Amino acid sequence: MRYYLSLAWAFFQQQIKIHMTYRLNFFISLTSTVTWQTATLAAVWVVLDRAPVLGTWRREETFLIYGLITVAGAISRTFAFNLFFLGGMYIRPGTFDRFLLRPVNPLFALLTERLSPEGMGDLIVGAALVARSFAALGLAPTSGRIAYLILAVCSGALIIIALNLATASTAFWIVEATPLMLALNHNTQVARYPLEIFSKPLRLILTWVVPYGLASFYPAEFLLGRATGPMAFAALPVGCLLFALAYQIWLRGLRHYSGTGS
Amino acid sequence: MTFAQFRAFVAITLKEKLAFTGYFWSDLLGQLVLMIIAVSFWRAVYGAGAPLEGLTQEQAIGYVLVANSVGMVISYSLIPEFGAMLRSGAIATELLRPVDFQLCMCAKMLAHLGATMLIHMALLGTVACLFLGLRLPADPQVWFWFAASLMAGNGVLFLFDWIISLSAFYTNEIRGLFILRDAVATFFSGLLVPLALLPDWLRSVAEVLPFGLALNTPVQILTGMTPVGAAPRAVAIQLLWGAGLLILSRMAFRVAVRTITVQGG
Repeated sequence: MRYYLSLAWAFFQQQIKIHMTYRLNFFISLTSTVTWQTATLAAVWVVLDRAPVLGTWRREETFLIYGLITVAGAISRTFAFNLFFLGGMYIRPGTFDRFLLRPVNPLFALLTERLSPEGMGDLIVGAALVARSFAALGLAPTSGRIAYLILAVCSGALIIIALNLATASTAFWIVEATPLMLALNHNTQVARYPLEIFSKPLRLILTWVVPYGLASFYPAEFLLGRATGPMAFAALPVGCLLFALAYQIWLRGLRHYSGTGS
Repeated sequence: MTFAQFRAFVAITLKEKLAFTGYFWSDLLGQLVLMIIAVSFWRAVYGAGAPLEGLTQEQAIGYVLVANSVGMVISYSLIPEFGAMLRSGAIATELLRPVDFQLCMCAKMLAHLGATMLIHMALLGTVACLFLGLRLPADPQVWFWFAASLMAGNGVLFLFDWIISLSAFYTNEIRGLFILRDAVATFFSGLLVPLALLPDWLRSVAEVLPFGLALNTPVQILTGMTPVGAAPRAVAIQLLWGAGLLILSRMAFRVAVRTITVQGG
């Protein structure tokens, strides 16, 4: 474990050096993710400023849901962004072979090849939203709540990474899996809002099929005292289970992989 | 550039889009998911049904459905293409071609717009009409002004992007700038929320930027938020913007091209 952590740190340092070759561009990239988040958030803000209740959820409560999924997405983006490039940048041109020759787990090698510091921009916006919602809703940041928050966002990130890993692994068969991943990732936008505003089939899908709702809606319900049932703690076991399944798909894909011969 | 050449560009763009069928259908599926989210969101926003800033629920939902159907035009940009051409050295070949570089790139943009209209709007618009309650006008005049406005607005956006892209000649790498432009354009084009709903100060900012001209203006025409009688004026404003930016872009290119460093690929 320590070996892998030290390797990840070494890779991260190298990538910072690469990014710093084009310093201005790097800093624009960092601020641009903040700008992206701000732009989408501003759109919701503008609307909720005029109509401050979504279903039975007040504006600040909705922003708590929004903040939780944004932080979970930020963690996923920072550590697992390279999954999006598996087909297009590694399998199609045949460069995936080098991961198989390295004396480390190929999935680890793939993920650490491109850690994405831009995810920090998402993290800042998401964390600021959660903090603001806590303050506006009078939720004291007790150690219990903070511990639950950390558990919820990390579990949420695990769910997102697991689903991305499962879909990215299809690239071993279909080569280009990015659009499938993007289509799936659009669903994280649903997890920005209270699930009750969506139709029943959509709610079921977001809870049991692509369970992004477990990463944001149910933890927000728990933090606000709206519900205290087992769903508030489902994200971690579901995330672990999904990741285990996704990893099996990845391993099957690896066995199927024969290179493109490029 | 002749019409036959332009037609060839459209045909190539269509073929490119349809060549990767998995990509194409997944992309459409993703857009459809976004439209379903948008409809659910706006229905919840309206709740009891009172209009917001004079916009009824039906108008707001119609607006976001049409905006999502044609929203692809906003994300198309010269900026990453300029960066890639510069990094690979392909820019040198492009500049040596016996056709005007800007006109050539403009034809590509129009071809992309045509392909987007033909594929995305036709397919997504049909799905939205059949399952999401979108109602489109039958008046051919509205469709004419919508098409004219979409073309003029995207011409404006093209020229704006052209000027921004020229900074690649100085910085060599503009991916970050593209993400920044994409974020600002997504908000100020009216893709996420009709510009009519913005508070006054934000609407004033939107008015001095070209993004709304590329999406908000044509969508408002098609959904009836801008009456057909006012459409010629809206298009005239777009053309005025276009004329100004055309002059500026030609001048900027003449200066920037002198500093170009071809990376060698």
